Amino acid sequence: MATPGSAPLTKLWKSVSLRSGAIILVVLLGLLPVRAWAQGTDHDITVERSAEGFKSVTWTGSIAADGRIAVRVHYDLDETPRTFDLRVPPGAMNLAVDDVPTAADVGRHATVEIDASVTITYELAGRVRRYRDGALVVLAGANGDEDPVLVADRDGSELSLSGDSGLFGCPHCFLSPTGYGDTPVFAALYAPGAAHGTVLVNGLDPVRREPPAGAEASADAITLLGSDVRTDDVSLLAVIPADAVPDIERSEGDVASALAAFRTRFSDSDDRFRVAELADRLDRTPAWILTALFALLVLVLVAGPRLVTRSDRTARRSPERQGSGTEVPRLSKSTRPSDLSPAMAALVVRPDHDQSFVAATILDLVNRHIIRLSGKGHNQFTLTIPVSPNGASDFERQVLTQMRPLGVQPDPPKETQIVAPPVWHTRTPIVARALGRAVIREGIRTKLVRRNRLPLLIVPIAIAMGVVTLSQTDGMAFHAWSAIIIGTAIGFVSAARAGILLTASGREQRDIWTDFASWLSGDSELERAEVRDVWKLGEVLVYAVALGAAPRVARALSPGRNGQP
Amino acid sequence: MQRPTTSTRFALIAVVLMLAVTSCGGDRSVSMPAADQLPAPTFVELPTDLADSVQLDAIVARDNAGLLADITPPDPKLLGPALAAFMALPDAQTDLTRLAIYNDSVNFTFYERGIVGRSVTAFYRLPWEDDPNQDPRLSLTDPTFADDPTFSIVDLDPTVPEQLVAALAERVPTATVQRIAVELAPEFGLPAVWTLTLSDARGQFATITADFTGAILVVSQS
Repeated sequence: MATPGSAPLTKLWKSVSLRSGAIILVVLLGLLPVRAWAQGTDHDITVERSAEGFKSVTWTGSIAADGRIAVRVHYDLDETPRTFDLRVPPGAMNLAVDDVPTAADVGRHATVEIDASVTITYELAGRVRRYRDGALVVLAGANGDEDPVLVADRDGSELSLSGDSGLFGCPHCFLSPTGYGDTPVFAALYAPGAAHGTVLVNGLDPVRREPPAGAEASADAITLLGSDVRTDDVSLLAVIPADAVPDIERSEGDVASALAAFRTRFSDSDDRFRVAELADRLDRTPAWILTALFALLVLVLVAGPRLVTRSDRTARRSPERQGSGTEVPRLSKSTRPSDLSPAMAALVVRPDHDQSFVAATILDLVNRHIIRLSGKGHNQFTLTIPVSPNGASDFERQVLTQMRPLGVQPDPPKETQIVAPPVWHTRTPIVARALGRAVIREGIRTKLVRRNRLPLLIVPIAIAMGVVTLSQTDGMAFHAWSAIIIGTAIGFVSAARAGILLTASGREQRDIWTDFASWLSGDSELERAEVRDVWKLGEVLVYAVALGAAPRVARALSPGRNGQP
Repeated sequence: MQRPTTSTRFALIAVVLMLAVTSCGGDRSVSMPAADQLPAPTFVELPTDLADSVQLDAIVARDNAGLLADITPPDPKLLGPALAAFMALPDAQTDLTRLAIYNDSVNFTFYERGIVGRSVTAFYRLPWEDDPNQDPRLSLTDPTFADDPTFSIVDLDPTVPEQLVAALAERVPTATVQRIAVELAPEFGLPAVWTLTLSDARGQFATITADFTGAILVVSQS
């Protein structure tokens, strides 16, 4: 049977499967605020593994009205003089090293001498495509050589040791035999209205888009910083207002489609373009929200049942209780305290026990002569259910229907005889489930119990945490979707299995019927009573069965001592 | 005031140690450079005199012991009259697949009547030396199959090659232009560019790429 009062959630914790679900939920959802806190800390990027001799890369670009891009890449190194082979990006024009025009050989290579720092400048054309809703710019390293318009700047940042082709294409690792660390990368793009645009980044993690500041970084600049921790190059795409490149003919389609094509191109690799979020959005707000939601979840899972228990105890102790709620006459302990049916009495007093409410209901029907009981031997008896049992309530009719062959009314209707024991034969589990649901429905109808909806709160909490994560954080989409799907599923399962709670009226009834049950339980005659003793003891035996004071009768008539609804 | 219990003391010690470990790490925080450290890159402007093109600084002349290249340079002055004659053709095409200037001729390769695949070349040739009275004339080859991409000559300024040759002669007097042609260079995002090959007494040593306005974009030097 379901568990009223604080019992449902206590039972949830006792249940291995639900406890596992709760643990999974706590871990899954708990990681969201943890990761949000880790991500939404300071705006500054923390470099943990500095590359040997390599300090930073600064990339700046300007976009002209005709779509040309002027690029400046500055490498800040240590002061060790080195000779490098500069690989010129395809399409680079007006190449210069430290502002000195530089020639490249046939293979588009140049040799540069570097001491402490080097600045490489060049111009690119054909990297901008203008659409009706904006312009898409390929800034660096996006591997699109096959596309003459979205062709990549096979990043001008590519420096490598001469003759060491094994490091070719890796702009940073040339200096560090143990890896290239998480090199700080700074970037700024200048174009009319650029600050209102978007930058998509691959290869920087973490990355922050900074709000424009200062005279140079105006509303026409979009700036960002990040740390290159995992890839051998950094790819940048930008979406800027279409008005920034008025001299370019407008292409078919829109920016979203172009970006989708780009993402598709990268879908088979580990590389993923992601939007560089503005730093002011990466504050601690999402982490706070997620933490608050997680605290609410913990409250539901842990403090919820305790609060129910406490309010229950308070209700028991409260002196006002005597003067409020349903007025129940307080008679002597030996008197049936109210008009509750045996099944309802069992529901409010012994909710987490067996199916004795079924046994009590059958015995009550016998006592009221709705069904007949006849004895055959010492412990054998026969139950006869008439064709039309007059005077039975809806719940009692459901019990009687379950007692008929296959649990259905015979067609045509006829009398049913059951020679017992056993009463229920092989249908015990089905009967237990069906009548368990029926008694809860009856309890809800009589306002003694209500369904426990508390675990349903898990569903909106999980969804809210997922949505906050998806909309306010970066790079946690899979985790967020997992939280939404698994959290919702666990919430619904928990709600379905959490059972019922006693209403105020139910608690009143439980208190007064508990006294009565205590009185009955001290009677040894009831404890030894058999089914046929109902003829002698009448209603007292009926309630004794319901309240656990007549175990032998309960065993004889119940569909299963340990069956659960 | 109540004295802290042992467990409280341990908790405090743990917190202090944790903070100490965290703060003593080798991390360094980086933030965006100041605005003046992120200047917007500027574009190279087209000089009035192409000899002032900054990219020509990239050409490094070789020591040729005072010798000059023993070649006959192409004549860029032919392009103006050649272009006029070509455009006067009854079936003149403005989309070409190739344009090359030689010392005594200019070649225009295009698709006959614009039909892709039917490639013909028009030769604009100076009068032969043994017949100085002969008028310059255009001759057409028979069509052959080709499907090369085309470029437009609508905006072609016929004086640009001459300016480029003059600029190179001024800036690299030891070198001679060996070849002038228009080539498609999609990697530059441009429909077509002028390419001029430079030679000196040792041989070919550099290639200059310029757009139709004469802006020198790339210097390649082996």
